[in-house]
Amino acid sequence: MAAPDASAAALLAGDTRALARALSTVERQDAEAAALLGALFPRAGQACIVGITGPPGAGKSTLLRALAEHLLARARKVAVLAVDPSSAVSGGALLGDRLRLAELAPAANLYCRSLATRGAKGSLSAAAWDAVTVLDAAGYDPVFVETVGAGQNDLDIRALAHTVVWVDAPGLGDAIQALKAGLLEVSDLVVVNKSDRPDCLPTARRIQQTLRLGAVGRAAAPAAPAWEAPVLTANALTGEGAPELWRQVEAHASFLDGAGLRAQGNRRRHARQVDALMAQAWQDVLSLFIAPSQRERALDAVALGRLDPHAAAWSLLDAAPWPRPIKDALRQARAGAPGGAR
Amino acid sequence: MSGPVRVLVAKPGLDGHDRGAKIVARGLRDAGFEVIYTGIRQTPQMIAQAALQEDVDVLALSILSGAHMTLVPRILELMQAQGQGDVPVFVGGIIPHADRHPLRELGVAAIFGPGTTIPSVVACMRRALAARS
Repeated sequence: MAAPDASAAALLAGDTRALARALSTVERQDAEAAALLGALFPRAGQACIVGITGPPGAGKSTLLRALAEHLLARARKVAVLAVDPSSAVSGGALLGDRLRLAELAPAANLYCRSLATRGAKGSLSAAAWDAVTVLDAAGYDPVFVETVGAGQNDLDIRALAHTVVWVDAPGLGDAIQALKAGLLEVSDLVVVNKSDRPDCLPTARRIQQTLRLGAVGRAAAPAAPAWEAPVLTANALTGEGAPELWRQVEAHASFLDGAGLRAQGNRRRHARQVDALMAQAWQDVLSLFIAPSQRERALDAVALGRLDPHAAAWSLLDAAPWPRPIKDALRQARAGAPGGAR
Repeated sequence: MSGPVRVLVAKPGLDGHDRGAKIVARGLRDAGFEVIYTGIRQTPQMIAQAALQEDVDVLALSILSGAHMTLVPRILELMQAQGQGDVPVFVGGIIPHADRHPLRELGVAAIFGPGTTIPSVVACMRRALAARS
């Protein structure tokens, strides 16, 4: 196994094999990954990170192919991270997003990597954050991140990307769907794909009207400089709409720079990852302090109806051999928690 | 090696019969592999590039067109040239008996013909990976 510095040097020199291996390393999320990221992080921070999200089958991968084709013709170095779900049953995954990009002729300036979620709760894998850093350090710009077919209330991509593109398609729901809270309301651009279908334009108009309702509400309290998400149409199969979509991504990038919001976005991205890493470490500590046998006993008590889930959780935390400050902190937390103050 | 095995299932050449490749892809997924499936009509260059970018542990090729004696050597050369000569390559499909030995001589890890079961494919791949590490 190569030393992190040697791997980082080869990657920065443009060695594709080194880049591919570095991405495998960060996917393992181990000590070697941490060392490698230490070497690469100072070199990252140049790339425009664009999230592509939306319901399954809307055409995210196909639209990415059209965008990649458009950008490769303009001599950009394009990276695509395509995330697909891991099977909850076997832990395996079928990663099919690459299929669309595979239809392009092999190009030295296009790097596509498929990631499985590997047990992550949202529509990104835990390694996605580090994989973006690695591709950024390797000089790819933009870096596209295609999420698992996402729906409502999945906001990781909002924290990871500078610009979030919501890809929708006609025929997936009525106007109430667009009124609900969710990713649509925090997306920077909306694209309604499959513009060859007669109901595409009406869908786009309906989404636009829904977003306007929000803008009317905001106008009453003008605070931050506002970006109004444009609603575009596209036909990913023919590539129609891709140049306009890219122009709008660039317009959004200029808006972020002009309003001084880029640093804020980067901070949000790093905050989300730092918090996730701490939570993961804390989870590991928890499993060291609470014996599996105790956990099983508490779960038996819940199954028999002797404890409710809240009481079971607190009894496990109470019984663990914590050092003093943690015991005190848990007592404080318990005072404010349901099932705690008994 | 830690984490799931990453395998590229690819169909080189011009035949469009992908039922076998899809069944194998699904079976490997159910065995806990991460399967990258790139679809039909791939050139050797496309397959080699996908294997490189995805840093796969295993390459599985499905060929039913009869062009295996042209396509497989080309893919093996590209894998070798890009530093992935140690990745085990498997070939499935319709491979006449007379061609099996020459393919094995070129470095193909195993050949799976009609009637091969998914468990035997999985076991064979795991054996090849264990022998490598």
